[in-house]
Amino acid sequence: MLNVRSRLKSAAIGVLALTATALSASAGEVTLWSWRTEDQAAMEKIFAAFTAKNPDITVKLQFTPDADYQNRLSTALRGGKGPDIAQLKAYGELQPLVDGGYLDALDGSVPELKDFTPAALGGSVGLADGKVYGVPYSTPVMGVFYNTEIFGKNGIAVPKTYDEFVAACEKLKAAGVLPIAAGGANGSGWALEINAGVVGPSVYGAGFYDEMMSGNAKFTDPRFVAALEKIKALQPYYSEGFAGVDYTTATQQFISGKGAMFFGGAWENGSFKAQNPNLKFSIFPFPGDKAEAQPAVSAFSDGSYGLISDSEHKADATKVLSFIASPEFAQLFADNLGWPPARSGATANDPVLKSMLDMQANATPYLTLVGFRWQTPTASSVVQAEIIDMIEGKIAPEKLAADVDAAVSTWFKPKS
Amino acid sequence: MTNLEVSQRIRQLPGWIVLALWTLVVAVPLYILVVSCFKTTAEIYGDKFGLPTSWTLDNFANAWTQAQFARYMWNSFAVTGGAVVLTLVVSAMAAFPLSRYQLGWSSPVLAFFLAGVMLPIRLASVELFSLMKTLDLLDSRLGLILVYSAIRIPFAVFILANFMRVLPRELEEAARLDGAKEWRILFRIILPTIKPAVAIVAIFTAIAVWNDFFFPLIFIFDDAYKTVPLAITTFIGQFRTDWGMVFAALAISMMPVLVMYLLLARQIREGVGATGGLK
Amino acid sequence: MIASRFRRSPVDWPKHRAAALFVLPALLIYCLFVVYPLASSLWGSLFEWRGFRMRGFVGLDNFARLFVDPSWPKLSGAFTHNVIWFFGIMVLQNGLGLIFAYLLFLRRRGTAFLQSVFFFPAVLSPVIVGALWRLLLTPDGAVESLLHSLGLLDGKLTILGDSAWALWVLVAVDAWNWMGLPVLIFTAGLRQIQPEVFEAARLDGAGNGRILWSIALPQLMPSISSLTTLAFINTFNQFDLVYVMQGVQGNPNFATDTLVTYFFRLAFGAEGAVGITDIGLALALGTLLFLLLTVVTIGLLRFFERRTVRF
Repeated sequence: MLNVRSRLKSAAIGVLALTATALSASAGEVTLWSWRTEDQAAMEKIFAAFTAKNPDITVKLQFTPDADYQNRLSTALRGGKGPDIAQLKAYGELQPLVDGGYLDALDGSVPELKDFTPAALGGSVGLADGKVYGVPYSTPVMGVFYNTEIFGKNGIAVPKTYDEFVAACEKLKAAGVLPIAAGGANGSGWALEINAGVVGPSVYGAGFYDEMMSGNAKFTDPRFVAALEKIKALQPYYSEGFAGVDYTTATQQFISGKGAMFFGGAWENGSFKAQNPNLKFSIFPFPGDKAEAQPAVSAFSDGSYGLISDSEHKADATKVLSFIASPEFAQLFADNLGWPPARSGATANDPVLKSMLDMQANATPYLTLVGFRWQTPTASSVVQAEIIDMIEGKIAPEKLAADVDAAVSTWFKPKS
Repeated sequence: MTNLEVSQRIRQLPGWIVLALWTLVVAVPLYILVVSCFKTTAEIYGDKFGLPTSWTLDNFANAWTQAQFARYMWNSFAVTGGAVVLTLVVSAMAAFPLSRYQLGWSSPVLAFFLAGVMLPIRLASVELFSLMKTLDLLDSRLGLILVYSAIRIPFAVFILANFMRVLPRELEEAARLDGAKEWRILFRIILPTIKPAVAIVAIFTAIAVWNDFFFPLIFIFDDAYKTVPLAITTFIGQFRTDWGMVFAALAISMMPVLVMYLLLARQIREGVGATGGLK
Repeated sequence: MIASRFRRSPVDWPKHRAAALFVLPALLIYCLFVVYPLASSLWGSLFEWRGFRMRGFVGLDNFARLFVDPSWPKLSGAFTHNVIWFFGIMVLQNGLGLIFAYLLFLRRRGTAFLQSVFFFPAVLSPVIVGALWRLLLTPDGAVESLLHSLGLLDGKLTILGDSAWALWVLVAVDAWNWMGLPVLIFTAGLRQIQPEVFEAARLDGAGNGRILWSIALPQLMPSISSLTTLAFINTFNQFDLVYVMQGVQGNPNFATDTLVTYFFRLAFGAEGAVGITDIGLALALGTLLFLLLTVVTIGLLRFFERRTVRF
């Protein structure tokens, strides 16, 4: 009697245990970390589409502002408390995480990666082993966003030469409109580095990147200094109180229609639309001294989504990553966030996105990021730290260029 | 009033003006904080100092829904309460024999604790982080409670021992003669007699722990365990331009401290004076 | 007999054991979470670190690296800022606080209320204080409006983005935060001085200023000692306000960087925009800062000890 009873009991317990594990296995929650606090609503929408197709997997999004993201992520990973999927910075900033062994290579597990171009994958590759560690999501270009209504009201056409650009700024200023909303205070110095990326190619041309990579040109090159000087020359047209204005404030000035232009990257498209659906704007490449059909613009791979090695939900997380690498995601991304998706083939339903895809035709890698953000001190760290002072006239452009050169010379080896 | 009194009053005037000015410097920013909570962001831009035209509660509603303040408040309460209780209990237990017993080793041990009042624990964060990871105390409120208690114990032992030391011997002797156990003597007789000291330790510990954001910054990664100061920094980073909502979030997080201060201002004042400012 | 229970034995083991048991919990928690990590950090600074793994013994190598490029500019900058912060607080916070305390002391009425008002900002979290002042000091903010209406400023207020002035603004905010502390401490100190001393001085015809300088100050040495030591410890430990108002990099251009924010970047990976830690440097910096704090604190206490008037 006892035997049967105890056997029944253990059987019952066994069934319960099995059911419990089965239930918990199907209740999959994948945690995803991102720094794009601006895109929260859109991303929740996109991943809701994923959960609609895969009901047993929910994607929990957690956002940390950009200035703190990198060190919060690395501290969390160090403590074994990281997410399942993390948004990863590209190129040099990816390497510490790869070297620390925190990420799983995705070459085998996400077959959709085969459909991506090498340029798109360039930012999510491990330097040491050449494996792909993240699914890239966008290859943005950078240019001049402009308020079409303000331009129309003041009779300004899209400038095709630098002189026309300056003339447009003068006209706007005379009409009492802020010509260029710009600011990089309070940890948003990267926004001014973007300015350098916007103006740069128009001065040093599309081939400059290759020259720098092969060691035939350095930052102290007069062409680069000339680009810096142009950024400084435009200072009268920047936001008032420029030194205290940060990136978020500058974007607000453009979004609220107070500023006519904004130097930015493709990611602003969706963000602008979300914050002010009535804003009428478009984008043009920064013009050089002579009119060109396709002025050169900076482009790069913005980042990727990677799989954390310590994750306890790898199977589910890999499914999410496959979704991110899919054409469906690319289309949702294009429609909801308005940046050029990393995976080509999405249709541009938005005219601004279409302009940006057109600009990609003459793209050159964003110099300071793609070329020189690999080891400390990075070119970016020097530029971001000193650029406000340069624009305000406290540091000469030559000195900034020299400082950048000195910094990267400690580790840069030309690829000949 | 006599002429002497009048001239005395006049001489005192510049002093009052100075004091009044500083009162404004303290009060006006806080006034702006409170008042801006009830304005829309556009209204704040337009009129910084005036009273709100329509006392809108939208900012509070938005702040509350955008971030889970209820949960963050709960975490802060749990961690602060836990730290205060733990600190008080173990510190009282330690201070008692060190101040009342004749032991050869009380002085060095007390000095050992005392050194901790000024030890810069933040500089040990690297090793502390590894320790917490090994003990699996990252992302946990218990971990925070233990760390905070460890940091506050030196101050608590110092204060409690100082107050206990001067109590009359007869207090315990009588109880011992009756056969009372030591812990009973401590908690039923000694501590109630030094209530002001207990209050000082409790209040200062509570304030320090509630306001700290350094340790949550390096120990807490899961949103579910964040305390209020840490949550506020993330909140502001994300919603920086929505001034109305940011002010509302600041006001919400300030509430518990304000309430406590209104109730306990006198104890706090006297406590600071008595302890010479050791925080 | 009762008396025998209290007869002195050579060693009263039960008493020592009971005492030890009572002291143990506090001692354990304190040793485990404070003393051990500190000792471990001091020890670890003598080793080489690759990522987060400790390797071989390298003696003072990490310390040497602190004092050369690329660390030296950051280190010297941060140290200078801490020194400025200390002197700024001594003058703006403790100096002004002394004056306010004295003014309150000379008046009998309304002091409790004003003391409470002055001390209130001190119970607020640095997050709240920093965030509030950031909002007040932005372009288009309240302070800008005020300065405009007073005719003291044209154009936008950009002080937080100005590498020459940002540090001073932070010091001022810190003083605003803690002004109540010297007020309370000095008031308590003044009240402990014999009233006859003041009366005697007044009868001799001394004015209030004279009384403060020659009579009260020497007798306030214990308060001054406390406040100076606290100011030193707190200004050299400064992290929170900088983090909240200017970011962990001590923007703009490291103008508001402090030793502890530099330490944080080295220890937790925010150095150089690539998120790289340098544990060896971090531990070395921590050790040096620990030594500095200890030596100077003891020095300050001794310095004031000798100057304290005793009766």
